[in-house]
Amino acid sequence: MKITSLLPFITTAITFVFVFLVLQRYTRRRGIYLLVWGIGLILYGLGTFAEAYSTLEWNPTIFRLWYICGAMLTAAWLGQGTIYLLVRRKVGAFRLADILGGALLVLSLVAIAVMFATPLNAAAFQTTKPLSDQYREIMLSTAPRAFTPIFNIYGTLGLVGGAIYSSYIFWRKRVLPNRVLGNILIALGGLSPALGGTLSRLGTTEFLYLSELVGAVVMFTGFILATSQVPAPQTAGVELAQTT
Amino acid sequence: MEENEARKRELARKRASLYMPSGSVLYDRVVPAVLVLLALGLGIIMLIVVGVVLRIIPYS
Repeated sequence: MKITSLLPFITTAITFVFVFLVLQRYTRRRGIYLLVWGIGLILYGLGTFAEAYSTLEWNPTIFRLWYICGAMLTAAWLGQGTIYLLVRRKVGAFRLADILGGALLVLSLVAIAVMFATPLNAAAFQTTKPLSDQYREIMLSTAPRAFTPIFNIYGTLGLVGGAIYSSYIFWRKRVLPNRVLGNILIALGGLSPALGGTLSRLGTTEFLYLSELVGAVVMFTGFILATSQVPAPQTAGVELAQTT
Repeated sequence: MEENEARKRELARKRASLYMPSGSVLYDRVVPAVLVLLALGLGIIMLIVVGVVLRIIPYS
């Protein structure tokens, strides 16, 4: 087994520890953004698990799971978590974040249905090649690929853009340095698989697994740093209480 | 008495951790530069993705 084939196994293990911590925080604090981040991270972990499994043998359901979780939905759901945290605007009687969340849910279900309806060419599969290097030969329809950029652009802008924005806000107010640095790490961690995926689209596939591992580790570190305990602010106003 | 002093020092340290230290190179120079670079990186990746979708950049 090549060393790069081990990377998705390590990424999966790290991601599920991350999932546990985020969902544990959700059970204590009840913010919907934590639940949606948890869902996004479960998708991340399932995507890397499918990559890991595919270094061992072919399984059509695992392949579909990889495309749905790893290629299509992860970034979008992580980004949606950040949108729940940051977007407070209302459109009529509804919160904009809820409208976007509802649209994401519907589009995700449609994309899953399309992916399960797509015929696969098992003969094109090789355990020695990364899935990102061979999925176009395996999928006999291009329909699922139409969804991928929509999810990924929305998710990356939400997750990375949101983390950069949060970091900038704290930096401008000169408060909570742990959240400034934590959000920088979350943005870096979000950019890493986005860069790996972009390089993969341009034909350079060998960095994808590494970029996912780096992304998981750096986002995890950022989350730990951003949520590390600081005493409740007594002089800095209400805004400080309304943070990660 | 000593315990009280230690608790006060700990509280002061924790309160200080709420705010960025003034005159810090990390927060005055490095952080804004990194934020600009991150925003540029995000913009470039988004441009490439949009370029690939619109077939301006060939899909490999």
